Amino acid sequence: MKKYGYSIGLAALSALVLIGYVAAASADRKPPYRLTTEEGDAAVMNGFVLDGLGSRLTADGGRERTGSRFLSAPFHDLMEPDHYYSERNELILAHRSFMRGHRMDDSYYRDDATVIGADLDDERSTIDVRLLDRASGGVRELEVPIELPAGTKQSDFHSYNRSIVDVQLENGRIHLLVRGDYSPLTEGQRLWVYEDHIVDSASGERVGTVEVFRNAPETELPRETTVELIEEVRQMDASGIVMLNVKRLKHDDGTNQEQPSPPLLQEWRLVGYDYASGETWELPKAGMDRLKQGLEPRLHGGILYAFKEHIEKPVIHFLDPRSGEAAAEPLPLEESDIPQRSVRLQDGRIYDNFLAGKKPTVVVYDEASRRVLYRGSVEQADPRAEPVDYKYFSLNFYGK
Amino acid sequence: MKTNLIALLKLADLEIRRFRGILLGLMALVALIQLGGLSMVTRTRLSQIESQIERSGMTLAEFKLQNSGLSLLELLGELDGVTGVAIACCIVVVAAYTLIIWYRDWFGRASFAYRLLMLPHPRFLLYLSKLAAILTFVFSLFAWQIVIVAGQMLLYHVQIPHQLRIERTFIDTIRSTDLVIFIPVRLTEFLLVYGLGLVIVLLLFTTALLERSYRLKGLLGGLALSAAAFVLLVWLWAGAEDRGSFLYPTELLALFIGVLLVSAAAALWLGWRLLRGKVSV
Repeated sequence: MKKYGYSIGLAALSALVLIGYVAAASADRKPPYRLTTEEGDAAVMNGFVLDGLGSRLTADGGRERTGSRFLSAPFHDLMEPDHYYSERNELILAHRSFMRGHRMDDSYYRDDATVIGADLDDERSTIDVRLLDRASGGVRELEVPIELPAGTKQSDFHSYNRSIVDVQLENGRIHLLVRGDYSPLTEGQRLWVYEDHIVDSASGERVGTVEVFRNAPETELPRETTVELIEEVRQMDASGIVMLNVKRLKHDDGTNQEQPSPPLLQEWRLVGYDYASGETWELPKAGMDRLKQGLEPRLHGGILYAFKEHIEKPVIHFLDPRSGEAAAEPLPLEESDIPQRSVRLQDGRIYDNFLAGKKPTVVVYDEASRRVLYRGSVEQADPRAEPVDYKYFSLNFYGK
Repeated sequence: MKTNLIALLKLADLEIRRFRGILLGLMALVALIQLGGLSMVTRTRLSQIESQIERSGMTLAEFKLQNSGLSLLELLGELDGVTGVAIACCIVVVAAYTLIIWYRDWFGRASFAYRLLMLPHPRFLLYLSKLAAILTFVFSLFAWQIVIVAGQMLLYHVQIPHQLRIERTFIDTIRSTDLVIFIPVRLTEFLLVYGLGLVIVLLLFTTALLERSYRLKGLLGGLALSAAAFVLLVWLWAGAEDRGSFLYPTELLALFIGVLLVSAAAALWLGWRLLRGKVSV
């Protein structure tokens, strides 16, 4: 054996180091932070996680490491849970067969009885609609051909010029809201057209098409019209209305090449659309005046919320989306140590994620009573770990 | 059985000894680059901080309060490029030796392959001994990298005044650097990275043996087999990146592992067959 001393020694020493490493890695499996409940009921945090410093924390004491993946990174079933994408995770988990090959379809709708998925075909000329009956598990497929809107031609530069931005089921009718980016037949720049293609859910027959919005094409080069959909923040939930955030901007004309000035807002309006009646309206002045205080609009449960998220001390305004008048008293949120924060609206609750006393903190308010339902903060479980002071943890919804 | 095991040990020992100089050279090179590099970077940063403190009249503690100290990760970040080169050197040398380990027997002195093939035990032991030797090199370099990170942490503690230090655990240090690709902290990651590495070694072995058995045709066949396995693995990996694919990522992972296992089994079987009846001097 002495003869093989070098080889055995090399292998044994390496094995010893590796065993030590495995032991250290196993001991370090849990992140050195925890989300501690300071007040209220942690149950309202079900489905939510705080992600930060390589950790994923839940209010029930769950701690998990994130990151440090290379080869295995793409082999995870769940998509990144930010921006409510996690609701697709819920669909994937609940209806794996229905979602197979359709995880990235344009839009989904879900209620207690039905799930609807809609996607445009490769030519962007037919909407493929799939309906899942949740009780029986049966799947029906419909094809809805769509034409170019009147007065438009196919845009030369945008091959993916159409997408389905919202699906709703109202009174037995499927509403497929399609956003199109076209060229006008006459002179002018980009033309945004929003159309609601209505289909009878029982027969699959087209009932009609409503043109929800079309901008006047800009004819002067430095001017641009942007149209952004404001839909229900819970994208798959039923919502009777949607709104469009329409801004007309004047860009820098390029005379000062060293210091171009930011775009100038020339016109700003919010256009509402009611799926059931086909009615459209503009948000009246009272609502627009409120928004023009530097606030951003969001739609949830039929209420228009207006607040600026990334500041130390935001105030949430609750507006009627038709009259623009205040629907409830504004809710001032607690002051944060840094401007970075996030606010989520869900199930009649407001989730505020910010920094209080240097620590990442979550406060959950009951929207109706303004009562604090939960308050928790991130604590360092191991003094050798990186301190949490002034570190931002993002609040994500993973689904229940 | 026991005779075979002893023969395997002897053959593996022979292969490990033959690479001894190169392995120790590689270990010395990475240690020098990583430890020496860290020491130099640390000294430069400390002298910058000292002159900053002198100019402002602050104490070290006040400096830390304003500048959040000097972390090992920050220093290792400055070394990322050279660390990558050092590790790439090891990978390239070991990968090249995966082929050389066969060809040196054929083209070395006194037709050594002839003597090896005439030994009175199963020829497949040659294959296993070479595989054991390559795995020993890989895991020795893996372990050495762990020792170097421990050395870097020690160096950090010796060179950086405690007022400036930002403490981190050993595993956390590895997790937070690019080294985590080669020194995984997750079991699945370890199995995938080193499983893939093992299959590449087996495919290279098979290619070398096919070439020794059928010359040019064998070489082309071996390369085609390796390329097919590689393309299939990359396709499955890319498929998992594509979120619109028909199969779910976990299903693609199962297929990826399946392809790894089938490739490994095919390479081992082919190697056994070729060594038994085809390979000649």
